Amino acid sequence: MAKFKGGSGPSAGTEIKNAIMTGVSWMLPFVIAGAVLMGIARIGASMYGIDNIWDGSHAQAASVVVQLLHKFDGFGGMALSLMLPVVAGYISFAIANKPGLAPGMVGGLLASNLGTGFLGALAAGFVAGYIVRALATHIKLPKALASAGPIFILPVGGTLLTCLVMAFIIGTPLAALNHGMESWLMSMSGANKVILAAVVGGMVGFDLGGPVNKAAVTTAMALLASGIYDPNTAAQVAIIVPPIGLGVATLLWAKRFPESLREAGKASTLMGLIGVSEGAIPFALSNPKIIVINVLGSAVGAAMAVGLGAVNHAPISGFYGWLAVDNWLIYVLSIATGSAIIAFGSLLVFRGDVPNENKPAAVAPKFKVGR
Amino acid sequence: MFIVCVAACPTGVAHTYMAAEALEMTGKQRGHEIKVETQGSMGVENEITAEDLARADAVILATDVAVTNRERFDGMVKLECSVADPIKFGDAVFEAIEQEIANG
Repeated sequence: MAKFKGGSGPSAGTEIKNAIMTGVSWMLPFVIAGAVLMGIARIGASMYGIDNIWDGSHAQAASVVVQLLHKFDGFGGMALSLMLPVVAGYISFAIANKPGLAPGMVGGLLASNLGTGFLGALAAGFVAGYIVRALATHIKLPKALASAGPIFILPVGGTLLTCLVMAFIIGTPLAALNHGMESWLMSMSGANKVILAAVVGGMVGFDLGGPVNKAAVTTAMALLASGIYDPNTAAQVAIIVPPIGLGVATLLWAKRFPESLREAGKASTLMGLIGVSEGAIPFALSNPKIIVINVLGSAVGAAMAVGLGAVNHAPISGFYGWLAVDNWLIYVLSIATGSAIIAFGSLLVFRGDVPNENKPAAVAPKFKVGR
Repeated sequence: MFIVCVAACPTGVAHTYMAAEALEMTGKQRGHEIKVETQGSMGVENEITAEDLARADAVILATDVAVTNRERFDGMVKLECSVADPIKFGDAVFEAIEQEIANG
């Protein structure tokens, strides 16, 4: 095992990836809270034949229930409006620790005001994080004034510099890029939409919670804030198709699978139903060929759902979100189709007689060790 | 040896706890005392205290996200890896840190 002395932080690539993951990790509860509250409002409103519950006129509606649903929509919108500040704030926090939080959040708020969307918030987080880190390392204060750094210079200087960079340098091009991307996605129709859904679905099914999966899911969730739902629908279908498909296969054809995977299969089915892709990981570790099947099933399920007009407005893949989906019958049918492809496909990979001992041991990466 | 660990993943429901279990199992098998702090969706659980830190020989940070209160571990023998590494390569992780402790 090679030794790694010195070098305080991880490599730049890992740092960037970790920072984005940190931001997304803190952002998720806001997105879920907001999207579900708005979902409740919309489903409730549809029972009253209202399809614009966010409209101000419903605040004075005759029915108390409608008034309340209108309020729910407002609560949800508030939660979603914190999404960009929080993701930017915690990206900055991951880079510059505590002093990074405030400049990052303000930068994220500015990004949302400038119309730069999620892309702008990511940029704001990195700008703030690196600015604060640079200030913290380069400004040397005499001992008597040392406490002025974190209490005054870093928040004021960091926030001001971040906002200046956002407003005058990268804000305009990012806003243009964001609008371009949004109108391109919005204008997508027919075959293109289905292809996009298949690609998103395939990415999600590929590594089950790994970097490719998270890249697709994060982008899809970010687009929710702009009212673009197809990538999210595709991703949410694809998340649960592999664990359900493989889990059901172990229940139906237990003899085909090694003992350890039969246990994993029960867990996998449950995890799939509540929307956790990772349940399928033991299968992929045991026989990586199943990844091809997973990608195929996820892509087909996702493409079918989007192509036939199911729309999932919330970043929720578990069964408790299914009824909130427009055209939920098609949505559930798509999940079933994708799962069936994986369940039958798994029979090609797991033949029951092959012991899984012959897989080559994965090589451990080199770890960063030091003080 | 007493090795403290932090496990954290982006969603904080699955990998964090799988890694914590793997660290605990592998570490005990290799004859170490292990304490794993998890920073998952419920926040910090099983927190590493000041007494733990005073006693600890080394720290393993198995995280894909930023660690809360990272300054605690400044100056300690430290191994940083992805949250998935202890699950997949438990022994390799401990071999690497044992060697570092031995080398001082």
